[in-house]
Amino acid sequence: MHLSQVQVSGYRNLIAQSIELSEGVNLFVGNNGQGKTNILEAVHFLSSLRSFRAAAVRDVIAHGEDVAQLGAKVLDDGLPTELKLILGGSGRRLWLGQRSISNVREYLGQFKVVAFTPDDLAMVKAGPALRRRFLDRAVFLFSPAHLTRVRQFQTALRSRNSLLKQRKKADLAVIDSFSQKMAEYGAEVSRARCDFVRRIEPRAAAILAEMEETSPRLDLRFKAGWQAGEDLSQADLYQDLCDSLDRDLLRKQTSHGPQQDDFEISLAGESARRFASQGQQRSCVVALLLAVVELADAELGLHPVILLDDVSSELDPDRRQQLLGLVSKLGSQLLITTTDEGLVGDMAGQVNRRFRVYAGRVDPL
Amino acid sequence: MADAMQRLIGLLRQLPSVGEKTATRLVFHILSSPPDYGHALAQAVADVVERVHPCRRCGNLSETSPCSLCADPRRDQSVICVVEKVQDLLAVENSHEYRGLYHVLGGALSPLEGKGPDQIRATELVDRLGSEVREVILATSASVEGEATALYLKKRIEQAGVRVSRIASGIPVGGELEYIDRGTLALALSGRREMS
Repeated sequence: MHLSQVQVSGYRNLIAQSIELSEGVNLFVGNNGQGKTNILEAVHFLSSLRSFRAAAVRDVIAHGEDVAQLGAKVLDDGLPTELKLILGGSGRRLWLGQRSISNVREYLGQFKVVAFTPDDLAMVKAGPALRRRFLDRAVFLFSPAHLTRVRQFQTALRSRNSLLKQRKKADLAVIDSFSQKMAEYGAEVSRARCDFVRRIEPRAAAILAEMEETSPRLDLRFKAGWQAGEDLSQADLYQDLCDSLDRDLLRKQTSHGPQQDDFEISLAGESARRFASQGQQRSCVVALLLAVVELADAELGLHPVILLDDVSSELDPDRRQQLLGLVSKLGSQLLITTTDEGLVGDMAGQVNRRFRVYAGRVDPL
Repeated sequence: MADAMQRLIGLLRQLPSVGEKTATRLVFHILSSPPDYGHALAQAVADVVERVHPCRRCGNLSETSPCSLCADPRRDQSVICVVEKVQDLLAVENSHEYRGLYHVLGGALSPLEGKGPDQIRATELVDRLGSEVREVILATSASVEGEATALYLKKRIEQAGVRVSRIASGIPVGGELEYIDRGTLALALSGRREMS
């Protein structure tokens, strides 16, 4: 399955145009601020109805336009599906072919993306928030309902925190009601994350071993942000919230819960965050990303379109080579952006189509 | 444009989902209709504001207090159905499945919007639980706030020794299983019952 065409109109700084994509690797070259990332974001929007930059819908509509229109042609075994999406105006409207779609779930199944930004490359040494974001996005690929559960959990958490902050005497019965909901949604969120880490670990380890023959063994370990038993049960999370209530009231914040979940990446039993070189850390992240793609193929028979935003210039030539080699082996379509003109020549043998992006215009080279 | 028209357009624009264009169209429509229509519209708006008030027992909007539902002796006085909004009451009423009394909360517990028990007429509900009431049905929405509200009210109502039930959530009539999200399906499964 691959994207053969993307149409944009009224989207950020991009001029209204249709971009013909190739199977395999598509490279977008241009200086910063010309619109490279906007193309990837538009593809991400078409796939998942949201941005990977945490942008609101009104942010993506071009200045002076009422609506943004996006379209895509997806080819699956030669069979075309056309998607259309209008953002803004009286909300969001979706089409599959000529048919207007009201059920979002029906729309969301059409094609999937995995996005990868320079932020993600820093995932090993960054704070846990980035690692949770990586996990949640990956879980969403396999189970779209995860996103709803995360949002419900966050609403319950913010409500509880807001109650803890109130100056007047806290109503413990109200706090307890929100603790119960937090435990219900939260335990499910943590279980989904934990389960995903377990499923991805052997694949990530095998990919890393393939990329770097001398690399020590990669291990992943999920660390729940609460006093969790083996089964990460709702009852245990609720108990933890009850046990920490006195401290939470003092600190005016919920100290334990899935908002503190994390997973540790280690090489030969040593924390990669503390002991691995920057190059090794990046290899770990690349292995994680590819493991997600491989798992999507193994479990869902799905080949997500991979979006690499400005990542290739952050990898040294060897790692870039390996990444592209492994991606092509997985049979996924790849959209890469770079500011590095040199890459166009370096990657000549691996790239199927090249584009220059300048002032919102995308031209094939 | 005449000042009076400007003023009406400005007022209409404050209504939900009415913008400048729609408001202008409405004003021209009123002006092109017979004058009786405009007078009747103005009078109807004034009447609604003057005469309709929340029922002091159940919170339903009504021209009388207690409202016609509370005052109807044929309705089952032993059950109270708790809803967030008057619109929800109308929805339950239109199902023709329910013949008991209501209690309109006027919203759900929402710490993020500063809504606590005092803002949702929780104490008024507990005060209604006399000897006659045997069951309270919690029909708050399935949102995080609606669910937390149900949990909170459950505790207070049970303290008063009255049975509490929650409306079932799950698969809509005519719904296809494969399109139901996992959370809804899980709820529907855990809330399954024996076939009669």
